[in-house]
Amino acid sequence: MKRNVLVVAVVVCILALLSLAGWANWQNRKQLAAHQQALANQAVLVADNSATSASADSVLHMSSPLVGKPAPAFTLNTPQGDKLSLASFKGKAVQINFWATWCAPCKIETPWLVELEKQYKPQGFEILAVSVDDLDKDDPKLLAKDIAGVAKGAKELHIDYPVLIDGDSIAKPYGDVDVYPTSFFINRSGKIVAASFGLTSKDDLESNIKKALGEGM
Amino acid sequence: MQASPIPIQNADKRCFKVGRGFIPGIKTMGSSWALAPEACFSSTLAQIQALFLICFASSLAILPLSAQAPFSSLQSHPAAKPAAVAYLFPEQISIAADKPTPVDLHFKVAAGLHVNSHTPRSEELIPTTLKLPETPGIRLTKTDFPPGTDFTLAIGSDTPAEKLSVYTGEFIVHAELVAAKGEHLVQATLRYQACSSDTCMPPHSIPVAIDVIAK
Repeated sequence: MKRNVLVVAVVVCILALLSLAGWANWQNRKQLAAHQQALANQAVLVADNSATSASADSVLHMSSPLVGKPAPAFTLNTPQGDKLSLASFKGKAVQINFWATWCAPCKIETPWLVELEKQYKPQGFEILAVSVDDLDKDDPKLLAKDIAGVAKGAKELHIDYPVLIDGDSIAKPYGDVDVYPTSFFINRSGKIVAASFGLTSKDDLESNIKKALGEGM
Repeated sequence: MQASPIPIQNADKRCFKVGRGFIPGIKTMGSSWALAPEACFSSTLAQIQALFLICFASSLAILPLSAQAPFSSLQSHPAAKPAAVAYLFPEQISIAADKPTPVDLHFKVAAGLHVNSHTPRSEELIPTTLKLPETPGIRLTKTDFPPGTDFTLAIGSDTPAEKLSVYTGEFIVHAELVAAKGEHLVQATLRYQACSSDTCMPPHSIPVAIDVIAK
């Protein structure tokens, strides 16, 4: 009898081990698939020794796997509380510019963007300045202060194109944006035709705007 | 094993003996063959033994497939990106109990990057700060940050130069601790925001863990 119980116990243990191994294997495969998906969405560093680079040293830019793909849709609020969707710019060339009030390179780039937006707007070009400044969503008073800070920062930089807040909420579909400034250039068909990561030159920005407009290709 | 099985009669059952073992449950019915696990076994124990052998054989076959890091799913998430600032030392200190004691905390900023100092030149910029949540028996009574070094971010002659106050390389925060007698684990947090010459990263926090022995 005792031997019977022992055998049954051993069999149960082995079955439990098998189940655990199977579950662990499934989890492992699931994580691997997720990791591969994340890698596919990540930007890749590419050395750029172009003469138009922003600094005397070679500047590292990144290529994005989103180039050539439809721009992910989103709807964000302006500091005034109005909702604005990417879809409302259908048929126009759009630059989505991720920036922050604490980002010094963004402050260098923004005056160039303001000029370029004025220059190419008649041709159907728009810029959306998506702020990634932290927002204290749990505290209404702090939230209002944060939003006011973004509005103030945009005003000081003389940004006269749409400013959107809570940019962190759309960072993931845009390849987990985690360096700033970052820009995605979208053509009139809604496809991303270029991306730039970090401070680049005004010439580079203009070149990407022309790509979005369908010129100089 | 013998090359060919030897049929054995066992009351109304028939098993085929192969060497010292049995092929379980194979029996002839006239000229046809059928699998019948019960054929060779006349006891519950023997059935369980057979089941055990099947499970064991299956586990030997299946486990190697799961052998690729079988418990990797139980590990934490894939490796995170290295932080721009690292806490170097001290990890453990001995101090006099109930007496304010100075402690120098050493940090290092990754090469090619800078972080805003504790007093950046502009209010929008995120300063480097050190905080210790309320911890029974130990208090952080003072934190003196070093002055930042000037860093000018300028591209071309037509852009205004942005002058920043930053830390680069190693920097030391002069802290002061007061601890009751005993052993305490200080888990402070250093918050900073790092940039290179042409990119900025979001604000980030790193743990500063120190084992404090107060005597």
